[in-house]
Amino acid sequence: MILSVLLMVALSVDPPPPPDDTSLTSQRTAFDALTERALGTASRAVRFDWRRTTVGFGVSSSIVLDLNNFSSGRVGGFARIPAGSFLIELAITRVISWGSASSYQLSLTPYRQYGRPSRVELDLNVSYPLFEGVATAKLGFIPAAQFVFSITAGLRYLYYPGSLSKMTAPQVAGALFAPNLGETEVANMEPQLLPSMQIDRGRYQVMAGFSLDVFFQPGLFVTPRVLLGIPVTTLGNGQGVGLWWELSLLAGWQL
Amino acid sequence: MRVAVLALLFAACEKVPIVDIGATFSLSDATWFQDEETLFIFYRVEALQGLGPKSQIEVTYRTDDLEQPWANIADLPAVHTHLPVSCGQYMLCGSTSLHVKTVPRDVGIRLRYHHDGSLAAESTVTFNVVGSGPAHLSRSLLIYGVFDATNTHVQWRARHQFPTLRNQQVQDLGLRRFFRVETPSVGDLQGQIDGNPYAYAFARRCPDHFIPLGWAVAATTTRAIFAAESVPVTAFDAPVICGESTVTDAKGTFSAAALAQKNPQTRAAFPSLRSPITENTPIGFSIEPCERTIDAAELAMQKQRLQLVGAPIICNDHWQDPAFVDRVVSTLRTAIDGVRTGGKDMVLSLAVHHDDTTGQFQATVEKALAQILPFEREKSSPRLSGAFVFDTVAHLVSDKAVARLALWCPSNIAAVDLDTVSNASLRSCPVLPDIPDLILGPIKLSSLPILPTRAQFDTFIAKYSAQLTGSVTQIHYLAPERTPTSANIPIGDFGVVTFFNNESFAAAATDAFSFCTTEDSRVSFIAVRVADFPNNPFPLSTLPDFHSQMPRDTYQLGIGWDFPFLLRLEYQVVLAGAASAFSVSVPFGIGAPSKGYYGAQLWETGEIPLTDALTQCTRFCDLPTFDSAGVYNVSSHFRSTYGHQCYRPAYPVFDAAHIGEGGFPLDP
Repeated sequence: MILSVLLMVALSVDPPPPPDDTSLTSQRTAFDALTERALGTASRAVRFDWRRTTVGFGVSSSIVLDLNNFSSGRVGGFARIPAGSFLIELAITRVISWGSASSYQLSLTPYRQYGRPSRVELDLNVSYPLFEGVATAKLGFIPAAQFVFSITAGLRYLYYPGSLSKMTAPQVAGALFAPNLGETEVANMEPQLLPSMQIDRGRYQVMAGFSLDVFFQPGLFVTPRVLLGIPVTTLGNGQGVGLWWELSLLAGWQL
Repeated sequence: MRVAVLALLFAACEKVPIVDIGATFSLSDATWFQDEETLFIFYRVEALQGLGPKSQIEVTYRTDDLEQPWANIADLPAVHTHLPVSCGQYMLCGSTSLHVKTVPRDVGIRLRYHHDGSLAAESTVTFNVVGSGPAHLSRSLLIYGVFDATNTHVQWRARHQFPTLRNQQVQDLGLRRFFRVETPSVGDLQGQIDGNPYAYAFARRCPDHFIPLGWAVAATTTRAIFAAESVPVTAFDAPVICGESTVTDAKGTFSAAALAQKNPQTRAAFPSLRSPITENTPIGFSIEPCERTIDAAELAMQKQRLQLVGAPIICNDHWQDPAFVDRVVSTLRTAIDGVRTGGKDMVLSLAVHHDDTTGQFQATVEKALAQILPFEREKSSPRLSGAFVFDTVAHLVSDKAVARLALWCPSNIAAVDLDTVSNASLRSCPVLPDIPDLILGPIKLSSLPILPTRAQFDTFIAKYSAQLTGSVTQIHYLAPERTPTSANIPIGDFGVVTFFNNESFAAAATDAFSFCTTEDSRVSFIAVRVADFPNNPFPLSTLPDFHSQMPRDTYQLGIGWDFPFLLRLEYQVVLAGAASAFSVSVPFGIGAPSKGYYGAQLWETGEIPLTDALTQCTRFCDLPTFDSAGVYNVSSHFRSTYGHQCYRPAYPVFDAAHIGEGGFPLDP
């Protein structure tokens, strides 16, 4: 009976207040952070969150696989900005074209082949990640890296230096945004064409393909890329190069 | 989707095709001149692209002496200078000249696409042989001279002469010829150049009777060069300058006489015909019933239109009275003589208000005017120029003498309701502004002629409003002043030619005239008469033919007209409207100032420029001319060509600072 009474008294008493732990807030660390924080010398961070970066800069080099007898190489620079899950890229590239033994032989005949002379290209590309993950290298001196495999699409603008000479300001303004090169531009380019080259008149191209971004801490990245070029204004009308492939290697720093 | 992607990938493996540049010869000409032993080659190749410095033109030919295998024309020595020329981005063109002693055959011209390649496109050659003959027909270059506008400076010119190519084409294809002209002399050939329009090589040397000018040698490889010196005053009357010209060819040089023929010496025969136009003083009368009222509103409108408010009245209550005409004539003459003392020409301004529908009353007024107007027409200023009558109804003047001198309004449009008259039709006397006939649903817009008939006036105010009939704000009468020597010559029923003040000009029998139809239509009113046929004036346009057939030493100019004065009305016209809705019509109007001209527009200004209309050639009229484009038409002489054509020559311009730079005048 006495035990029952004591129990009832005990249950009727208010529980004690929780301990005050705000004094430890400044000492707390999220678990994710703890896993990526080096603990002594036993581990280091390998994941690179490119989405949290502000901007990246780099250089690029490409080879253009036109299906004609001319060759082209590209060298340029770019800047890219993460936007949510997208990676937006602006690039300017100098393209150098040269001929071949075949194009020279062709120049001895009354035949010509479509191609593009040396030029400057402006690119606006957008990449969207399909796969992402962290990988470690077998070779010890290569650090672990973050791989991002993306689908890439872009719009390219071609500018041929010298093509706008002998044109008035209104003509230049019109020509800069015309989908194809005009007669005056083509005539201006004629002396610059490689032997046996007939100029592709397209001014805009759509690019589509894949990129593989390899990020290293604290921001270095290397990106091999393959793109298929689609000349949107000359495709199908027999006045252009048609489709072509482009292999690129980009390298830079993501800040 | 998969199929599309696969198709795209397969397309991405498609090789870029090769395309033919489509090179064709649009010109492949060869001409051999026997007297020059020169074979000229001209070519032009067109292609879609791909022609450039590495493409080359090759030529081959055979003669009895040699066989020229295919060879780059640039590697063959040329007789003359051939400049590299650009015919366009996708063309290759040029020329060359080869020394070939005997007549060639099997002449071939072809394009080698690349000087290292073996492929070539051959052409079909147009080959001509020009045999030996007169130099002006058988040589490839003629030399001649022309003068500047003042006939004081000579420009020596060369002209290419090929059977299949024009002078300018040859120049465009790069051929340049050297020529020089020396020891020029001045004189008169007296018709020795028949059959040889440029007179090139009419002789080996210039005639001995020509007077040497002592000028320096003029030489160039362009097509023209001015002589630095000017023609001396003593040689102004000589028609030609002869120079000894020399040109080069494969055999060396060829020298012959070349001629520069002076331009026809011309001037405006009569630069401007002036006849002062003055504003005439209106003498206003209202001829109306004094004993009864016919239509007070219309009478007020008539007086307002002629600005006759307060003007004297001639009562017509008893117009059948035989003395009525004399009374009207007497009243009018008294008024005219009174105003005449002011020294100004006058115009009768009569408002005629009546209700006679037989036309007898108007005939009576005509009789009165017939006793005044013809007499006044012959007087010198101040005089009565004519009459302006604003009648109640339309009337056609039957007296021809009155019809010439009186403007009788309103017009004779039969319609009473103006809404039924198309605006496209002519409302002759009461000129309307060009207001389209607007019908916008229930709204119809119309306007009353400023000088309507009584029926039109009454119908209009019944449909719209008396406030919308418009009003005259100013009225002006303009007519030419006559002098005591002015003479009228009637032409037909209505026309008169007036020779106002002995305006005349002289001409020699050897002179020639050119009449040019100008934009000023008043020139067509100008008439000419000669002393021995004073009453038979003829149009100015026939003067060139008349003078060539029957030359006279003096021609007198007059002005033909069909009405003696110009009436200018400034008035407010109202675009009246009536909006109909639920059987209620609400009139409204839109006023607009306007201006109308009645009578002869000829009298709007007092000066008729004739500088462009009539050109008189006084010397060298049978020598070649320049046209307005500056082309020297060696076969178009002033006398034979420009009788009825406008003579507006454009001459070469002598510039002392740039004599040696030569030029390429337009010479097709």
